[in-house]
Amino acid sequence: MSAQLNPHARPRGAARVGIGGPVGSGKTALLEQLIPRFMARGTDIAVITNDLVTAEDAERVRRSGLIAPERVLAVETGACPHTAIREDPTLNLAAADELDRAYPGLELILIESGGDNLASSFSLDLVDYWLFVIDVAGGDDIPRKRGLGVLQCDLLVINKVDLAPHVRVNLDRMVSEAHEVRLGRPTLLTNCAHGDGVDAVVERIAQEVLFDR
Amino acid sequence: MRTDAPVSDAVGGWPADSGDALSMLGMLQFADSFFPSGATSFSWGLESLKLDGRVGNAEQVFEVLCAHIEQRWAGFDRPLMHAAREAWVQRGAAALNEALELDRVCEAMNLSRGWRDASRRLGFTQLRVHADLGLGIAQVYLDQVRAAGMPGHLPVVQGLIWGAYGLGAEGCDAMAASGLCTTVVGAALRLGLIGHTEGQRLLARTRPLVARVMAMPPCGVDALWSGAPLLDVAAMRHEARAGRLFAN
Repeated sequence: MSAQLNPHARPRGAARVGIGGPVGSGKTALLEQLIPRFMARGTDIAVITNDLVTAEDAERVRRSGLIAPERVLAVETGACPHTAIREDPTLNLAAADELDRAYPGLELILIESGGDNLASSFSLDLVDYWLFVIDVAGGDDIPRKRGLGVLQCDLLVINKVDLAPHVRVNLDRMVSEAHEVRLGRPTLLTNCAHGDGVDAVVERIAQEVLFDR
Repeated sequence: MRTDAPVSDAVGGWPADSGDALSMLGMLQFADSFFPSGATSFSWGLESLKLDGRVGNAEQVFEVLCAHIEQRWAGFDRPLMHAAREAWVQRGAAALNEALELDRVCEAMNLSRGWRDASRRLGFTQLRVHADLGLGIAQVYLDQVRAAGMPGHLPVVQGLIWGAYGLGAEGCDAMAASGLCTTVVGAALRLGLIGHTEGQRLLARTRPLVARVMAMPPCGVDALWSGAPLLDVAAMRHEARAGRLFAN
């Protein structure tokens, strides 16, 4: 028996988009830039954060005033964050389910992973599409290290591009190597502190997962 | 014995009449920490006990394990699981109303919010995964939780689902107890209280106690009990902590 044969198969809920990446790469900053843009597009949106030890990211988003606080749920991971988004994403699925039930018109749930290493990735049963956020200050060798996150994500975001000259990073080479290891899959550049490049991220997500909504 | 979806269906669609071997393999699959259950997010009081200086070494972790098995699981979760499983065995899908009543009892008798929430969340994840695997009763019960606001507590869900797979009472005991022990030991490892070898020693040391509990008939649902005040207080103190790795 498979889920496809199940006559009670769950109704499709909101599209789920994952945001992963190393600690400090700018995942929450990207989230804060994405939320108002999707709301301006009229997208009905909610957020799930995965925090290690504290609910800091969830509280930061709740207090931002960008979104109703009750639309932001926090999942305690109890382990390395990738566990809760890949090997055992059931609590994130339960949180998404809770949001779907609470907001029947919900179109998009952004699921932010806790900061993790380059090998983190999302379960395909948890998300429809996922972003991996790295930043130039982490070193321009990250793409060529070929971590699972860089290789497998649907969209690679290189953040803090404004810092490149200050941390001796050759941004052109970094982008070129990202394209090379990702076999041409998309990579976008952002400065989430000021919102530079975020419109293109919104456009890409809208094209990929909101196209039928 | 009534079965909703033979365990063989959930382990790859093999013939359902292969008997014990398939049941055993199914039990290993469902009790494995690789099975997506959400369990890694819960320490069952251990994190607060560590932060409060009550638990700081392997021996004290062992005491926590024993308290969970003897003072909570044996008299509370276990009888509820058995009652739900037995209801399925006797009445099949008609056991749903009985399971819902057991669910209400579990909600009413769970002392702290930390235990209640954990039991509900872990019950939900079990329902969700088994529904996605195609187990009809799991989807029906999940719909009750979603639409009617039923709690969906873990022991009731375990009994109903594992009963629907045709798993025996003793196997269900072993799966539930070993899942609880593995979760607590895993939490102890991540909290830095023990190393990986000591964790395995603790699991081995806990086995005789689990076996003793399993050898006794579960009490009736009208005689549910639990008595682990230190664990209960730890669960309550955990609710208010801002900085925490685990949900309970």
